[in-house]
Amino acid sequence: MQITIEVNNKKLRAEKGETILSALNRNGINIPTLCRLEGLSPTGACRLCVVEVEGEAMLVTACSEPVKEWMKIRTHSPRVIRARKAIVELLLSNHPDNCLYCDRNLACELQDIAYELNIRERRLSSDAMPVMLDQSSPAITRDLAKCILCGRCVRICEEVMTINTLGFIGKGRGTHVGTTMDKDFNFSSCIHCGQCVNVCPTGAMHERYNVKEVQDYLDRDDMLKVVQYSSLVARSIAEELGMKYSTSFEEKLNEAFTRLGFDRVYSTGFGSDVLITELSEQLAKNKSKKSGATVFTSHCPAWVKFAEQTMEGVLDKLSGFKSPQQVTGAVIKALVPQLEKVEPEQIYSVSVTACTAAKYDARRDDNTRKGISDIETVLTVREMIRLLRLYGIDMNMLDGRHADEPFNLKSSCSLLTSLSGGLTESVIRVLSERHGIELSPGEIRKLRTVGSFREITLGRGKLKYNFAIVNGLKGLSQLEEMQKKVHYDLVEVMACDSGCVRGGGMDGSEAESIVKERVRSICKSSKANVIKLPADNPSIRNYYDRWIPGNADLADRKILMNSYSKKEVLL
Amino acid sequence: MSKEKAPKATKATEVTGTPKGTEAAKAAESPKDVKNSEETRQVLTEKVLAYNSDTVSAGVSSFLDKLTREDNDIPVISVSFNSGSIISGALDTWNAIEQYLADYEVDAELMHGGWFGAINFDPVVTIKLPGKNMLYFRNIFESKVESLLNSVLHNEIPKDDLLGQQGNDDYGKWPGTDFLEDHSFLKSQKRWLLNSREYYEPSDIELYIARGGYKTLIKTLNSYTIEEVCDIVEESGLRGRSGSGFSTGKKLRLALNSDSELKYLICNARESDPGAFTDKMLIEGQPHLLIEGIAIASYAMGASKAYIYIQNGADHTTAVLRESLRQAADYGLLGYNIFDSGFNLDIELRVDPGAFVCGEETALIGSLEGKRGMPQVKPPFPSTSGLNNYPTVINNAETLMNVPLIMRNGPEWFSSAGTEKSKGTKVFYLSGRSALQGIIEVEMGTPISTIIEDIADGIAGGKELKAVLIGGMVGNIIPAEKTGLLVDYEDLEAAGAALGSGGLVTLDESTCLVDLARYQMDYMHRQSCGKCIPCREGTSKMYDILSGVVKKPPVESSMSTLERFKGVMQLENIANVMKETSLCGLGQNAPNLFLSVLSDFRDELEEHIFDRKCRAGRCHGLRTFIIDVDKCTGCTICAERCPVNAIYGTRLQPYFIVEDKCTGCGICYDVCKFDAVSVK
Amino acid sequence: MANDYEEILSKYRSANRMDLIPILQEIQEQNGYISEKAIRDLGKMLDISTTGIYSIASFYDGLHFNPHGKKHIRVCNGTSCFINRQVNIMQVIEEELMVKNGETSADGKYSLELVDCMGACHSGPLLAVNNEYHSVRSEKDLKRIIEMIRSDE
Ligand SMILES: Cc1cc2nc3c(=O)[nH]c(=O)nc-3n(C[C@H](O)[C@H](O)[C@H](O)COP(=O)(O)O)c2cc1C
Ligand code: SF4
Ligand code: SF4
Ligand code: SF4
Ligand code: FES
Ligand code: FES
Repeated sequence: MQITIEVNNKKLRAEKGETILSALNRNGINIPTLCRLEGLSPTGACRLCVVEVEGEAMLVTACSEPVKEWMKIRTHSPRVIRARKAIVELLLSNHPDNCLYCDRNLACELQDIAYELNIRERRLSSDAMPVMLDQSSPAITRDLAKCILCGRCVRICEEVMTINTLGFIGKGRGTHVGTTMDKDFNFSSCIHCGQCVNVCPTGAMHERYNVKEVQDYLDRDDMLKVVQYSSLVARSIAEELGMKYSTSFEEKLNEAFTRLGFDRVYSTGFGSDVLITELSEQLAKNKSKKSGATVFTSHCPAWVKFAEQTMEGVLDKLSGFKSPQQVTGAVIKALVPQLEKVEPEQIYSVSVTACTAAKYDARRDDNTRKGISDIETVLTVREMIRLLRLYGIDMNMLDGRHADEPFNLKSSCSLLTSLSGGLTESVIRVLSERHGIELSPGEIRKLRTVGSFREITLGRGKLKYNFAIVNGLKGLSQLEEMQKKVHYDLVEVMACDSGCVRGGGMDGSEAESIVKERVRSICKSSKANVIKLPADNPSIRNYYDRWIPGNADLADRKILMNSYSKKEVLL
Repeated sequence: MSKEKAPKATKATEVTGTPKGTEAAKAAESPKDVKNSEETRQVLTEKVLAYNSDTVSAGVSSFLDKLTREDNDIPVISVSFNSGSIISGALDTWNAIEQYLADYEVDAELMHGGWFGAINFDPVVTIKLPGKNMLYFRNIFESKVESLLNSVLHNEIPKDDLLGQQGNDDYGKWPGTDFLEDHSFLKSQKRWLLNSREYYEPSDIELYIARGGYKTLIKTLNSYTIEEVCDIVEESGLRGRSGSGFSTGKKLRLALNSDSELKYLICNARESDPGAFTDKMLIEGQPHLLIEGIAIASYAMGASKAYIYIQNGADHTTAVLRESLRQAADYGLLGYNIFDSGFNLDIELRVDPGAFVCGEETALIGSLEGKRGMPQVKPPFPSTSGLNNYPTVINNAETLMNVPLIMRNGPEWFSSAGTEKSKGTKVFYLSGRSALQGIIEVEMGTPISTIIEDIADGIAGGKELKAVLIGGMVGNIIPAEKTGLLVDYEDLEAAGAALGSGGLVTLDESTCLVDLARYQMDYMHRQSCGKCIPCREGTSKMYDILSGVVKKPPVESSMSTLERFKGVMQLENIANVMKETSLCGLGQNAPNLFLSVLSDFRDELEEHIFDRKCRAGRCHGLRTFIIDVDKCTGCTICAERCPVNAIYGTRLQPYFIVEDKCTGCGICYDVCKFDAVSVK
Repeated sequence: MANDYEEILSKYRSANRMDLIPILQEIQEQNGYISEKAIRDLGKMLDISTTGIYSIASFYDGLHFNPHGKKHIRVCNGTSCFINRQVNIMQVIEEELMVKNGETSADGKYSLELVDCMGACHSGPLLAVNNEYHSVRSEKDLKRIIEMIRSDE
């Protein structure tokens, strides 16, 4: 039902039951917020969204107060502005304002709000909070001094990721965000999804920096420097640089890597195609053996860590295949020495990814073979952009070049694996081809819908495959319910809602609209890609037909596999 | 305790008795055959509680008199037994009396007493000889027991320790002895909740029933509909005693009208005021009155589960309440189908795990639900969606204790006391610098000055009243000139104060109000829940600034002076923004105390800021010391010990203190053997 | 020793979140403090993350993660005791006994806590050592009390 409210002396239409904030936003009136999180209920913690409502003695918080018919609201009265300003000044009084050195410089919500409110002088001073860095985690660094206790990280970790690693600790002035018994992050149940990093308005949380390390290696001539990245990464870099994404952008990116000093540029899509091929094979085998075991995907490292620490029963059902990044990395270390005539130790392998958990993934024990890691360093998109800026590379001015063989080509399926449900869709395509069965249009539509849990059936009778897609860990509870009734052949789990498109390593992942746009664009590129199935991909054909037979390491499929065991963490 | 020697007290919980504890055991072994017997129970349940008339038969009546010790065959002696008196040495007194009775083979009964009210008089001992009025004696420490009993048991009254007699004016009267009611401490009070006739064994249900207790509950359950109870409570004009002043009857009805199969009543006995003991003291003296009130209110709103949320650390209060609840359940006054009325009620006692803010409704609910006690945004309000999302009514303990009285005596009786909009009485806990301190109860509309001058007997040592702090940590300071204010919701609100927690702290010239404001902010910045920015950061900042005002920085530079002035100028702004934007009452009211200092004692504040002086002499950080050249021997010890090297001189010559450097720590004053250092 | 709370947990087998704080209180009463292991076991039983439990428990002043000292010193921080205070009791004790507010000294001998009004303001400023109460009316009083705390081990 529509009602009328009056904002700054102008009549506006509002929906009955909505909050003042949502009515304002829809009508293009902006007010600052800090603790609000899209899609979650308001907590009213930051008080920045206060507005004046006629007849109320106190200022009210727009994020939590429902609109009422004929409510008279003033969003920028002197009283409101004074209050907002005072609140931000209070926050700033002990904030370490070494912004120039901060991860979030120019991308910080606190900075923006201070700027908007025209705060030009430090009227309140007290000692800045001492730096309290927690660098124990392979993926995420926390700097408590910069935390303004908005609670977003706590809520996203608890309410969206269902992990509960972070919590408010203590009270009053001593309140801070931390983990059980205030232990370091690496003892915690954190699955490194990086969602907290995405929502943090300040520089209190960021990925563990590896840029310097890459720089150091790029200077070395005695090493073969290789890099891999996925289409999603290229997309997000384009997005961040304000450029249009297309295949030609990818080619420019290849050139950019070369300019940075990388000797070879590979596509992570190769690993995805191997993964799709192997997983489809595994499923088909299972079917023929009638063993009937449910297979859980294992390509999302955050999900794998979650399973290892909380779902012991699922560990032997995990498919065992590494993530696309690690598959590519493992094959690089096995094949490139043979092709380039170098020792494996001489290869410095970097992966650029959308995901913070990928940093953790590269450090898993079982991603190192005979003392040689599959991948040396993982950079997030955010770090990659920094690297490009650091080297003064202007993407607009570059000519393109192709990626390097033998990991240069990718199928349209491989693109989909960065979406939740994408691996399943790819496997379905491969299996349809193999068994000559068509997926019904209704089922195809189901594949790409949203929601935390989906199920799809392929085929009939003896050749019937049931698939379940758990989109974000929240969906696990639905899976548990459904599993009581239905037997699934494959359960795909991705920790983040919508998949890697919401990865913790890229700016913007916290905004629903941006994530949706990423999904749309990935689907579009996938459709446009000429190589449809992994089996059509020459890189893959070469891998199976030409490289494996002559290479003992490659022939040993174990390099594509992880092994899992119960992880003891403070749950 | 008022003596320097500290008596040993055992753990309070051990004293008042768990089910098997000493209290029940003691009662059973005491001579008074009727106690705790099956027969007593039968009489009390069948002939009193379930008996369909307001009066009881003559036989029963004399039986009840025996139970209440109105009628006693042997002397009855009691020792006041509450948190305060235990600290004052009531246990030692108890033991000494027990010893005395055993040693001299006196056949007398020893009982626990409630409170007299003025804690200065603790431990209070009462003695009631058969057929005589009850005598109250004050400050009966262990050492005084023997002489007191020696005389009183021989009909001699030691006047020095006597507070007065209580009883009738005819045959039982002790001639030449004042009646207790005439004691200056009691004279101006109206004691409804603090009924001194209900003195013996507060947690003993038999005595409570014998005095007429729980009869109102049974009657209410049997003869009033729930709407009628809401009507009566509303009509009485009873309003929330925690300060909000919301009509209790309306609140109950709101919950009654909300459609839900489950509803909860919560008794808020958190007592969020570090300087008050009101609710705890009330509960220690009248635990069953509270239980009865909770039962009636639960009935009125349709709740079958109630919680009592009591403050952490109040071990004695908790033990008393726990025992009382056990006894009430044992008597069938709680539980399933109470006295065949069809009404069920379970009361659960919850001890607050320790957070000031849990006095706030939504924080309290959060804490009961097993969460961090952080206030939540409203709406939804608890009356529609509270504990576990069910309709919940939260009332202060004092509010609920008024309910049985209203049901017993009628709404008109209740509203006959008080002012136009504030009915009934209000309980306070007096402390600070007044001559008498402790728990008091006055009619609404009593001027604050009456409380201080008449009841509290002015300020100790004949000093002048400077101000009173009313409402605890979220309260205001009212200057002495304004103590004509009446104790009532409207009058206090008009003066910018509130009838909040029952804390009433008297202040005299020895109190520095700036330092008091700093102390209050210190408390608040540790007890803020930390959720919202204005409160968390505002209290912290105000505390920092006020701390800077009451002491000198290690090095006073023009920079630090400027910063201090800047900070001080911001204080008012921060305070106002906290009031306007904080999420809950804690943040909204945390600046009250400072703001009242600012408006009424501005000169004192400015003196601290500009002249760097504290007229009360309390802010040691502002002191400067001076060395008397005539007394100084040049022994060098002060210069050696001065932490900031502010003392200069040549050995064996008089030393001097550089004022700008001195931080006022006072070490030189302490270490000088020749009394040469003095405060400037 | 470590599993002293097992019995408590078994008593609450069908417990839910509402019982969390009473269980923590009982465990503390029995063991003197709440151990990391207790947090873990309780978390498993109630299906609450350990961070969740620590977060909740750390909010409340009455729950602690270290045992109290042999001598637990409570200093009344009630308003009345405050305004009657002649010495900065906390500061002196913190310095003399090397123990901080809310903590236990390294040797486990002393612990210190600020408490609200104890209901005997007239004898304030009050200080309690375990269950013995003292008035601290002067610096001398305090010195004497500290000596007493230090003596008889
Ligand atoms: C910070 C804060 C502390 C409070 N403390 C108490 C308290 O200790 N006791 C109490 O009864 N009410 C307290 N209240 C008020 C309660 O929220 C609630 O209004 C009250 O229990 C209602 O009872 P009444 O209607 O009987 O007054 C407090 C409120 C705030 C904001
Ligand atoms: S990275 Fe993910 S799991 Fe780890 S703390 Fe952040 S939100 Fe929680
Ligand atoms: S770390 Fe960031 S997101 Fe988390 S509470 Fe602090 S400021 Fe908010
Ligand atoms: S005003 Fe203070 S106590 Fe209340 S919610 Fe805000 S931070 Fe918490
Ligand atoms: S956005 Fe409304 S209170 Fe933070
Ligand atoms: S303030 Fe210390 S006992 Fe009351």
